[in-house]
Amino acid sequence: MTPAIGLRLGTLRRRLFVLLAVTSVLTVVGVNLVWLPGALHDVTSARSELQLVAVRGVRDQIELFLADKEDALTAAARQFRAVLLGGDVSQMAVVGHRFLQREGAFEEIGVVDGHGAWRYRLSRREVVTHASADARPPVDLVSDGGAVIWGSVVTTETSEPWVTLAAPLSEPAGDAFVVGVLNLKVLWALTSDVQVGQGGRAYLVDRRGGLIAADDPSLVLKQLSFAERPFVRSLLAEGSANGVNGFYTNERGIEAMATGLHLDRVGWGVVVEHPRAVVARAVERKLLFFAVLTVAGILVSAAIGHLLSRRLTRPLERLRLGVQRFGRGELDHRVSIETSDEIGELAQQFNQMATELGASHARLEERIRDATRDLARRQHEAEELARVARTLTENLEVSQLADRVVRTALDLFAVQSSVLWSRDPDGSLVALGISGQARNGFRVGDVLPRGVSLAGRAVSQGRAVWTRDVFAEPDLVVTAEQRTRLEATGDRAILCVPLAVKGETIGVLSLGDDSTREFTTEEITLLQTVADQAAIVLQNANLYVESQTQRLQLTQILESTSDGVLFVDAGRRVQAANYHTGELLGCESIPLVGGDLGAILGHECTPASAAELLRTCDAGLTAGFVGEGRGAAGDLEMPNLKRVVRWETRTTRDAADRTVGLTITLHDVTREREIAQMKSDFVSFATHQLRTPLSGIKWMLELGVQEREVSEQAKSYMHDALGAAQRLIQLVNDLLDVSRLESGRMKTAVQAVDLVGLTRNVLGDLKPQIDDKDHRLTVDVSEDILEVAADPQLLRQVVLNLSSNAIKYSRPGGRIMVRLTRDHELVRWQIQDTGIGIPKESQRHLFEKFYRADNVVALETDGTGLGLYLVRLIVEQMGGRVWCESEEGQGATFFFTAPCGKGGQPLAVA
Amino acid sequence: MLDANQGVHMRKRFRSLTALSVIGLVVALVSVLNAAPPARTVRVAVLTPGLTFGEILVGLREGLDHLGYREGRNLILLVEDTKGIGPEVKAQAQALIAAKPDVVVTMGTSHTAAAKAATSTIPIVFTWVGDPVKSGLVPSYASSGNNLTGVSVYSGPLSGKRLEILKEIAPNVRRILCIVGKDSIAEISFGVAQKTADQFGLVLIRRNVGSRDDIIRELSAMPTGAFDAIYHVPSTLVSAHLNLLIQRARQDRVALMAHEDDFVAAGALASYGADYRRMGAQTARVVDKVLSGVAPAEIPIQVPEKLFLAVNLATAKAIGVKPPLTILERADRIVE
Repeated sequence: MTPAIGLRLGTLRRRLFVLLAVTSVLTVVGVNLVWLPGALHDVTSARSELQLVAVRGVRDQIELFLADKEDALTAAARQFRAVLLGGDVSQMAVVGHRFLQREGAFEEIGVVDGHGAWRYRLSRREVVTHASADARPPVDLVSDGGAVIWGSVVTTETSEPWVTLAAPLSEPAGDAFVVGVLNLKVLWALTSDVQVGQGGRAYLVDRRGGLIAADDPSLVLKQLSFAERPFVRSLLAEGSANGVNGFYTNERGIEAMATGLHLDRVGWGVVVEHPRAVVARAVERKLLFFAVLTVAGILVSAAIGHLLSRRLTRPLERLRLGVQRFGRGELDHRVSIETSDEIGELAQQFNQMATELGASHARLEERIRDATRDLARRQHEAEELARVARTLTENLEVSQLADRVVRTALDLFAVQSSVLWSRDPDGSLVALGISGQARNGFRVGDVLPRGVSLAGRAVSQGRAVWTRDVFAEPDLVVTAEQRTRLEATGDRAILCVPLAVKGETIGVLSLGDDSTREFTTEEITLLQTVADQAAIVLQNANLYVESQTQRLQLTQILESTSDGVLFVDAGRRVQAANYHTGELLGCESIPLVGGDLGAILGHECTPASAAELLRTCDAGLTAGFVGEGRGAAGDLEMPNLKRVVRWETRTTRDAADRTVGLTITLHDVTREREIAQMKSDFVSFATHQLRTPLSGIKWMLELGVQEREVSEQAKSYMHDALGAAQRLIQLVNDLLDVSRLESGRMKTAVQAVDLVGLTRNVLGDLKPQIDDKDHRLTVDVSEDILEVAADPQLLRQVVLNLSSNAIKYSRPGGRIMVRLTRDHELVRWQIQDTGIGIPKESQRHLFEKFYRADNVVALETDGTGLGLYLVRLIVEQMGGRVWCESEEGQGATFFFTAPCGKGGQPLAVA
Repeated sequence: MLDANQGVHMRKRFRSLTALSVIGLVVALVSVLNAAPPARTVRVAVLTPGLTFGEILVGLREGLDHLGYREGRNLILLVEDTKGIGPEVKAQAQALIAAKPDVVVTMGTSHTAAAKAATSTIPIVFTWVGDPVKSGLVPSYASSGNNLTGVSVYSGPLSGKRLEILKEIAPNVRRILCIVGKDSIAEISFGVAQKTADQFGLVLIRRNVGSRDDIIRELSAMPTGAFDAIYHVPSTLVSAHLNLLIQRARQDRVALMAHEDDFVAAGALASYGADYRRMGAQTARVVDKVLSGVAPAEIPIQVPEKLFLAVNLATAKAIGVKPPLTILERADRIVE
């Protein structure tokens, strides 16, 4: 019978489950089917929009480049016109040469007259002779209202695309033109560097569909033409402000989706294309998302159906189980009545029958229970104690713990009140946990002054105390407030035991009862045992709270910084990391804690930069310290994220000062590096552009000074100008050197150098200045001097700068002493003067860029503040050190060291 | 009993379904997150005449380093320095090819021709080759059609231009000494220069050489005053020993026109052409392309990214030449 019922119940539940689940699944699938087509359409149109934005960006950059070149040619036309109007035709060469120097993209420049013949022509590659000057330029020179005329793109022997453009020489436009030949190779960098999204690329075609620039310059060099593509033909024929869209198979055999824009200025087309597969991937992702969502919906629907069917059939199931258990002899079992329907009534009838049978059975068992009660009590106490111990250690939250202690005491001793007091440092007691009738008189947080009431006595005596009637206890201090509270609880007999840890009382556990009963020794001992356990657990809970607070504070500190911080253990596993660590390392999506540091760095960092950090970690973990205790630092390069992150690491130590791992801090320095690079590039560019014309000025002045026809006064002016030009060139040279040294682009040729000979040579060159100021010079060289390993030109600059300073900043008749000594594997070079000295506060800034000491600025205005900075850069690059000792007004001594060359020979000291 | 079993069975099925879904999701995620291919160590052989060509090797090393190839880590660089050019270059090229490198980098026309003769399968990336088409190394700049690609220094076609610039700097020169090596590029360059000399009415005094001793002998044989200037006809041999020409030009106080600006720093009056280090770096990019799997025939021959005009004013002063302002305006580098 029973199995048959069970089977039917199972069938009912299954039917309910299927009904609910199918309804939910149909809803989920229906919703997704409505939503999916719209989402797929959004993906495709978003890709088209993105392509249009990208192609506009590339088009604008090319337009900017072409406009710039038009401006340059137009400006050259104005200069040529001025020259022609001035009548000095020879000056055309100056304009032409200057133009080609400035405009690196132009291959040629020239002037063509109204008959189409060259009046002037200059080329980077071709020799210009009469024959070549007769050739007509490859551009249709028909005036277009003063606008620049663009010719067709031609491909040279070396497969580079060139285009000829012409600007009218006069205004309004006449027949003469300035003609330039532009090498469009410059555009390759633009199309190859431009970022147009995943798998995308940009390219440029001329009027005939010939490729001018592409992501891969090799395609241009192959002289590919895309004229056969209907898309390209359509783009070149009509163009559109919103771009021309199309699909084709590109030269790599890839199905591509393209958007193109027409360049009206030159009639070219610029195209951005993406593999169709990229778009298809986005659609696939959407479909995958849909499928996952549907599967998740089905699973959730199934779970809900399962739960609901269970809930509906549960009363019947309980009734069935109740009958089964009652049949097995469980006479005290009752079926819970959850409904008021027929099933509920049936359950009630069943319970009534069970009660009557149970009462009869209970009477029979009463006698047996009495006999075993005493034994059970003892066993109960032991079990309760064990349970107390177990219960108390389950939770470390202080208030919950206190609550458990008092509730346990109440249950265990069958009294009406229990209070757990915590002892404050001033001796007063604070209520932590209250149960039973004690709640009528006490609240958590109530304070009992020191020595008051029976709890205060337990503290002062350090042992258990009790009374049959607290209101009749002699010599007991009870305040009026305390009395009122006790009366509210109804307690008369009270037992208090101290909570002690390591001999120190940390609180009191009290019991209260409304009768004037006596507490037995067993009860006192049992309560003391409970109190001892509570004391230990309470102490642990306090310590746990303290450690949690500290941990929380530490976490808040770590998360509040914008830097990344992570801790790795001795096995290079990450033990802790703040949120910014994942962000900086490009690993937001993966869990860092527990991961291997090498694997984490491998995500985005270049292998070389990651390996340097891992090497440092391994060395630090093996040696127990990093960088001789000062820590170490380096850079992590992440080319995909275009990010540079600076790391610093130190060892992490435990309380016993043992190395347990490493702490690594990460700081994003991408912007700083970019700015430094931009600064360096700018200085390098600017100084190079300055230096060439300055050399020309100086050269012409030198020639001018030698001319016999020039008057003496004019020569004097030229001398002054020559001196100024020389100083400017020196400044530019210093800036160039600084820029190269800072960027690491300085060409160096390290070799064994005779520093003594080099010093004597420099001082020989400076002899006129030394004699001019009537200085006395001595050179002292120790006998064990070796050759040094350095670049001789750079080393010469160091010696020259330091020696010039000593001469310049010493008053006439001063004394200058140069000394070279050996210091183990180093040679120490020093120069001492009797000059103006350097103020103390200036000394630590002395080797910084553009820094000049205050007293020097007042004395002499020519310096740039670069000389000593340059000295420092050079000396540090060759592995040495530079420093200075000085007292203001009493001269200065400058030192530098240089490493001895390998296998260096002792020098013959003269 | 049966219904209890059914409940348990139901729970089991539900759990299995959930577990399968989770495992499926994890597998999908792992396959999506699977990372980049492992880096392998590549072997690049270099056949160089050494001497002044050392700067190209420096540029090549810097370029490869910039592209992520680190010696000792993922790059083995096998450098065969022939210290000039001699009959043993062919054997040295064969020995280098026998080491089975991934790619061979050759410097200069003679060394490239030697490597081409030694292999038709291993990719060869040449650099500082004056005119690869006229030298017969490749049929066109667009595609070699064989295992060669690289960077042409374009010195052959520029030979006339250099002579024109020399004439502009020192208008009074007429008789110009040309030391012509045995490379095909020397012949091509001299032919172009001769054509320009005819147009400008200049006289080129040609002396053929085949070794360093030949250069010394020919220079010694020329009396002082026999020529007004020396013109550096590009060839691997003469470029490698250009210091001999610089020395003679200084001694006779005549102009020397070179084709690389390192020579100007060393004392030549002027130069017009590519830069050694930049060429090395440009070559490194072609090497990278070959190593990434592109066939050399698919990579068109490149020319220098920039041509440099350099003038040495200290030399000009020493030999009494006054470069005009037009040249100084154009100059990219001025040595004082």
